[in-house]
Amino acid sequence: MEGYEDLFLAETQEYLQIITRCLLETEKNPAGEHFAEMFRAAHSLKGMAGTMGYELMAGLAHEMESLLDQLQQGKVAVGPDCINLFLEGVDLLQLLTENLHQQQGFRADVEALQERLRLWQITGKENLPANVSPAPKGRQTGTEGTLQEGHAPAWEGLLNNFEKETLKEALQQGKEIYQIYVRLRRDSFLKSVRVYMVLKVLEGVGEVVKAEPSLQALEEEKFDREFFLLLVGKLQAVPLQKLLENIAEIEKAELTPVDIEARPFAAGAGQNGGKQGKTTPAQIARPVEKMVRVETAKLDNLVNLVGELIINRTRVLELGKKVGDAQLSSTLEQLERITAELQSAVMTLRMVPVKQVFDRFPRMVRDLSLEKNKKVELIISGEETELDRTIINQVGDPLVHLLRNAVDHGLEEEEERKKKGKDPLNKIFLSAHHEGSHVVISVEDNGRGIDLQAVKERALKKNIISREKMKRMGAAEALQLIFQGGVSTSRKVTDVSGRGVGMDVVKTAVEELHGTVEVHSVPGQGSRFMLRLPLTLAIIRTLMVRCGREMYAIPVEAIRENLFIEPQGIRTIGGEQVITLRQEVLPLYFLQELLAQGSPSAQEYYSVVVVEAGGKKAGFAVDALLGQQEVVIKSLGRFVYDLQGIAGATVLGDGRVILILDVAGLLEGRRLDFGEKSNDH
Amino acid sequence: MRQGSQTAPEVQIVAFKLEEEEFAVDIHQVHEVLKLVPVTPLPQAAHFIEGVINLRGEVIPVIDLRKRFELPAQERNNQTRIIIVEIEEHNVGLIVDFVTEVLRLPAEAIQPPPARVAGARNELISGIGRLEGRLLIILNLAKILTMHAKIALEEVIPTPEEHSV
Repeated sequence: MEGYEDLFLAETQEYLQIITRCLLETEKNPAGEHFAEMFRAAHSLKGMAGTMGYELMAGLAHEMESLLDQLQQGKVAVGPDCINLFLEGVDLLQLLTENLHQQQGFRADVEALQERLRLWQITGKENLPANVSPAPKGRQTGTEGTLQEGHAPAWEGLLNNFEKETLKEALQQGKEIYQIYVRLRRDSFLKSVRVYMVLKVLEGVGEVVKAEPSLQALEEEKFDREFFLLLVGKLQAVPLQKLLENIAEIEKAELTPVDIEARPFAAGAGQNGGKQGKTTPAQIARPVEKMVRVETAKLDNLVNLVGELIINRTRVLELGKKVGDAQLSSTLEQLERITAELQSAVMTLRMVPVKQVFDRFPRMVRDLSLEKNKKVELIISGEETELDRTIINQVGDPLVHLLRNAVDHGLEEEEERKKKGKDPLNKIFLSAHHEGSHVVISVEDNGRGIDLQAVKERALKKNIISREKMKRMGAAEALQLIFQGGVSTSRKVTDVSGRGVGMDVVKTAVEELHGTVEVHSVPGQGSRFMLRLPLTLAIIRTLMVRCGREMYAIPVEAIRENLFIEPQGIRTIGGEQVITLRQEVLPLYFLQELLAQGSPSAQEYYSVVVVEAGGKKAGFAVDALLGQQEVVIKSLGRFVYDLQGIAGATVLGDGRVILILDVAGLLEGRRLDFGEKSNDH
Repeated sequence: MRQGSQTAPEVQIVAFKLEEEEFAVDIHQVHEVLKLVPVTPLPQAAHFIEGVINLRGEVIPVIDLRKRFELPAQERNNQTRIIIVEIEEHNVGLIVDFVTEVLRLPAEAIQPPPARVAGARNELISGIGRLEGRLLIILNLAKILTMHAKIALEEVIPTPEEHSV
């Protein structure tokens, strides 16, 4: 089972998310039809947990499922307390998944919650009209809609023409018809599994023509603990009853030969049979499985291989050009087209909707808003926007930071809002959309905005800016200060945020993904954070440059423009070399020096790449610009630490390894002494 | 396979030289031995990291063991080799002066690293092998590569007194 654990965890996570989302939607709109979906999720979760042997999880999911069934049928009314109870269930299940191997420690919690869920099922029923007989537990025998022992279904009335025909044919072939009654044990967990095993046994001896409740209902466990089957076959020599009773959790199995044409057997259960289809809790159609689950490692491997292929394709194309054979060239063109298509097809495999991350936020914001006593509505849009899986996995934490920040000190209490004449309801908009080769995720609130004066004072206190600088600072520049470590957007520190860790972490995390963070804020009206992320991390567009003997790749998203400059265009201000670009003074760095790879040789003119990242702009002087190229990013491997300014490496067609620069890191690193850094002591 | 269970347990090692000292790594860690290939320098990396190379499409870091042990640089020649080792599931290249041979040592010919007092660095050695008067220092590569501090050659070479123990 070990090997399935990851799969189990992944699926459990998914089901818990579904349940949470549905619960929150139900909370907003109790009339919404979310029970069926939740029911399905709880049911699947139960099945999986049971198969894996996590009986506590299966038991808890079972009670949740039973209550959901009642809710779905309208036997119990849904209310906020009920939602909370379910959320507790979700939390406990989450806890159990996080402690898969120490589940027994939670036994008491699980049992207590199960009891409460069961109680709810009973108390809910007290609201029902008196003439409906109560079914205290989902598993109890003999209630409305369920069959009782001995009350066999009126088969004749249930069979359709086709089934009747099948029976007739079977009789003509000398086969016999049997009614099989099966009763499961009261504590049977995986009823559908038992049904399956019964059918498996019967498969060997005959054909099941009809089931009551229907086979679908049986598979979906929409039955109490008894069912009837109609079987045709030759059974004389088969100890069928014994075989069936040998199946675990089967309490009783009974075989009765029937004569379908001669007599409408089993009197007294007529009213059950015909209606069964309606009384089973809403026939839930199982969605056809169009998906295949693949281990992410396999996917990564595939992407890597395609990367290799593309590198080699480039090499082969270069060689092909040298040969200059017409047939070869046309074949190579084909190859190029196919590999390009293969590449884009493989890349789409890695894309997943941001919904996967967004889904956990409604719950988080709800809990936070209760805790902070601020009414918040979280409005999510664009959740179907797709992003590379790696990015999705890493964008969650920064978003949590932003949302917590928003709730904690972006938003205002109701009184405060009323006083200001604002809509009393706080709103947070979380959205995602495509923008060229990027996805923009934005977190916007209609709260009080960022107090720039407080931010500046904090930065001054932390020695990040000088007093003079503080006075000169414009709003846009001051806003950037929140991304510095130690500067908080809040005046007070709370347990949620405000300790000054947060925004710098957000920025670092986003930049690690080759993305950028922008912030806009209007005092009194709210703030908006925009994360601009690349669609994929595996391949990026770069500009190749040469410095001395080495080549480097600069990601084009950091490049603003390229220009040529004569040596006399370079001035020195305060010991730093600068150039002037349309009245803007930019620091100029010789890339070779910046990377500590020796001094650049004097030239008639220099090629300058104007870059911008992390709120800083500068020019990089290089020996030559070699053109744009898409490259596959490879990590530098382990044992290579703290390489500020290097995003990774790529392998060119000729096998050379080229470093990919991290512009933000390089500009950031200007304040550090590189020589010191390499002497790692 | 043929040897059966009677043969005394053996350890196979790849031996190489740095200055006058002979070192070794367990052959299970060694993927291959390459002649020197062009290395792309890594700015700002620790000083003993020579750079990165392309090993069949994989980018792997290469470490100059001379620099790691604070030895003076030496002209690279046609005996210089890169030993590709796998450590903690990652490939790393080690530049060495030259690879002497692949050896089989009886397990009993390998002693645990000598316990030393102050400034002990015996965690850098996983054992000392002896073979016909030769002394082979078997390196604990994981430790050597992950430790941030400088390591002087003396710290991985047992003192003469320890030899005779």
